[in-house]
Amino acid sequence: MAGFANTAAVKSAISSGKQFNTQFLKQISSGAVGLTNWRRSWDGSGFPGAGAEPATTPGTVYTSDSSSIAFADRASFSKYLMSLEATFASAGSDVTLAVMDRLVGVGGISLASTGTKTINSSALSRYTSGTGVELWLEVTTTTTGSVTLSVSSYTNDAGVSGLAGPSFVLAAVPASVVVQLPYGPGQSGIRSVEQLNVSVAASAGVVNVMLVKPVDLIGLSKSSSNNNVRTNAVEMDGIYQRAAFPRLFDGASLSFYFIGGPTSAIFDICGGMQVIYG
Amino acid sequence: MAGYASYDDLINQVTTNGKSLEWDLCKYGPAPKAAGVWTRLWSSDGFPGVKDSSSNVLSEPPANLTLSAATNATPIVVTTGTHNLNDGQSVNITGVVGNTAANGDFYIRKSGIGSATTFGLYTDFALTNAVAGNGAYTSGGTVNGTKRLSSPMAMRWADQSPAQKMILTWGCVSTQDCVVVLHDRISDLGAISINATGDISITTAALARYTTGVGVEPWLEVTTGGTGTPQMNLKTYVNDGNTTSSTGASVTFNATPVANSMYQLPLVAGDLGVRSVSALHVTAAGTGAVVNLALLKPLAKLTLSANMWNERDFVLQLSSLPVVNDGASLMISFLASGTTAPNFKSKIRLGYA
Repeated sequence: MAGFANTAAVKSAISSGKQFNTQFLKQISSGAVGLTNWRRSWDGSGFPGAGAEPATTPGTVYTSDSSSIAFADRASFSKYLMSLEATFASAGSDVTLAVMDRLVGVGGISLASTGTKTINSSALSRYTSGTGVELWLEVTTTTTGSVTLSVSSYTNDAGVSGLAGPSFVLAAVPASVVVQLPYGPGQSGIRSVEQLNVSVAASAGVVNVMLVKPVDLIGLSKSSSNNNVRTNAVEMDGIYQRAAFPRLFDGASLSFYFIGGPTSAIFDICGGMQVIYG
Repeated sequence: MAGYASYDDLINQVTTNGKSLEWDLCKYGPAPKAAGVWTRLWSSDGFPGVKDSSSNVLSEPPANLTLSAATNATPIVVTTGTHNLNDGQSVNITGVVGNTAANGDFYIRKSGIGSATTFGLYTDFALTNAVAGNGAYTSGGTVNGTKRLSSPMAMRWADQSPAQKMILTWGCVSTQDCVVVLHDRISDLGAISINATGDISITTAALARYTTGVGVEPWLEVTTGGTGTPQMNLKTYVNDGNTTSSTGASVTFNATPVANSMYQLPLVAGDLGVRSVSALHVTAAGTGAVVNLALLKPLAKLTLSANMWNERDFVLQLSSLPVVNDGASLMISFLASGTTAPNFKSKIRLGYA
C-alpha cells in the first residue's frame, strides 16, 4: 500500500533509493514590482528554462511540463516533498516562496476592454475535484490603470457550475505580478473557470488565468545569510523538523510564486528539492 | 479511541491512509485603525470568500430579532422587524411555540419569498433544502445572532467523528509585521449600536463547541466606524462555571473607531471564559459606531515579519496538536503594526485519527 507505515519506513525508502533530488536556478529579470505584490518565476530563464505562456481557451494542461520542476511518475507509490531549500542571490527584503503545482492555464485574456471574457478552462488532471485549487491571474502585459473584474462563471469543487465571485479591483501592476482572485462564500476550491467579466478596463493589460494548487511555502530571511532550509518530513539522520508531508501527484508541474524580495533588476532564485516515495 | 498512538501512527495515518486535510487561505485585509489594534479578516475578500456576486457581505451576523409569525409552509417564512439580511446569511432561532421546526440554525432567503421584514429558512447555504413547517405558529421566537457551524465564510472541513481533527502545521505570511491569531468563531451577534450610554440587553446563541465556555473569549468587532471614543464592558454573562457574572472591566476603543477593529471584553477576575452574554454596558457612547459581539476560541498564534513566511509545527516543534472540533469555523485576526492594509496567505494542515 502506498505511503509510509512509520519513520522506519521513511528511512528505508530513502536508503533504498526511493527519492529524487533536483536543483533549480531561475533568473528573474522583471525587476522590483513592489513588496505587496506576489509574482511568478515561470518566465525566468535558467533551470528549468523559461516557460511559454499558456494557450488561449481552452488553454494548456500542465503535465510534468519541461519548464517546470517535475519528477518521474511512480504510479504505485505516493510521492512527498521531503525537503525544500532556496536562496535569493541578491540583497533585498524577506521573501516568501510558494511552491505551486501548475494545473491549467488559459492565456491571452485582455483587460483592455470591458465585457465577458470566455475562458472555458480545460479539465483538471490532478486534484480533479478542485478542492484546494486556487484561481490566480498572471499579468503578462503591464496593466495601465486599475481594472475591476470578477470571475463571473466558474465551477466549484462540488461540481456546481455557473457560480460567480465578487468584483475585485486590480491596481495597475507590471508584468510578472500574480494575484489570487476571491471566490464567493461557501467554496473550498475550484474545478474550472468559464468566464471572467471586466467591468472597468485598463488601457492595456493582458493576463493568464491560472488554476494552481499550493504545495508548500518557505520563508527566506534576508538576515540569515540568504539561505534557509526547511525539511518537511524527516531527514536521513532522523532529525524531525516538520510533520507536513506535502503530497506530489504524478504529472506535477512545480513553479514558484513569491512575495517580497530583491530590489535589483535581475536576480536569481536557486535551491533544491528532495522528494521521497513509498 | 481518537487520536494518534505515536508519531509513527501519525505518519501512517497521513501518508498511507491519507487522513489529512488542508486549507490555503488568501485574504485582502482591511486598513487597521492604528498600530496595536486587533483587526479582523472575517469579512475581508479572498478565500474563503464572504461576498456574493453582487458584493453583498454575507459574513455579518444578524441582530437580535423578535419573531411575530412563522408560516406552516415549505419553506417556513418568519416575520421579524427589519432584519437587513441577504440570501445566504445565517441565523439561530429559539423559543418558537407551535411551529417548532422554526427553532434551530438556518440560512435565510429573502429573494423571491421574503421582504425587509420576512425571510425563508433553509438548512444549506445553497438554499436548496427548505425547512418545512410542523404546525401553526402560536407565539415566541428570537433570533440570537448566528451559531457558526462549518461556516461557508470560514476555513472549515468535513466532520470526521468519531475521529478527531488536529492541527499539524500552520503557517502564514503578511505584507505587514503583525501577530496573527487563529481562532474558532463559535457564535456572533450583530448590529449592536453603541450610540448611547447604558445597558444593552442581548441574547447570544448557545455554544456549539467548547460548551463549558472555558477559553471562550468575548470580542467586540466594529462593523461600522464612527466618531468619539466608546467605552464598554460586559454587564451580565454566564461564565465557564455556569454561574452569572457581572460587570467586567471596561475596554476603551480607539478614538474614531474604524470598521474591522476588534476589542476584547475583560472578564471578572477568576473567570476562564464565557458561555453566554445577556447584557453589555456602554460607559462612553460613540456616534455612528455599530459592533458585533463575537465569541471566539483562540487556537494558535504566530508572529510575522513582513513578507516572511513563518510556520509552526504542532507535532514536533510545539507538541500541542490543537484540536479542531467538528463544525469549527476558523479565521485569522491580526494585531496591526501600522495603518496600511496588509494581504495574507496562510496554509493550515490537519490530520485526523
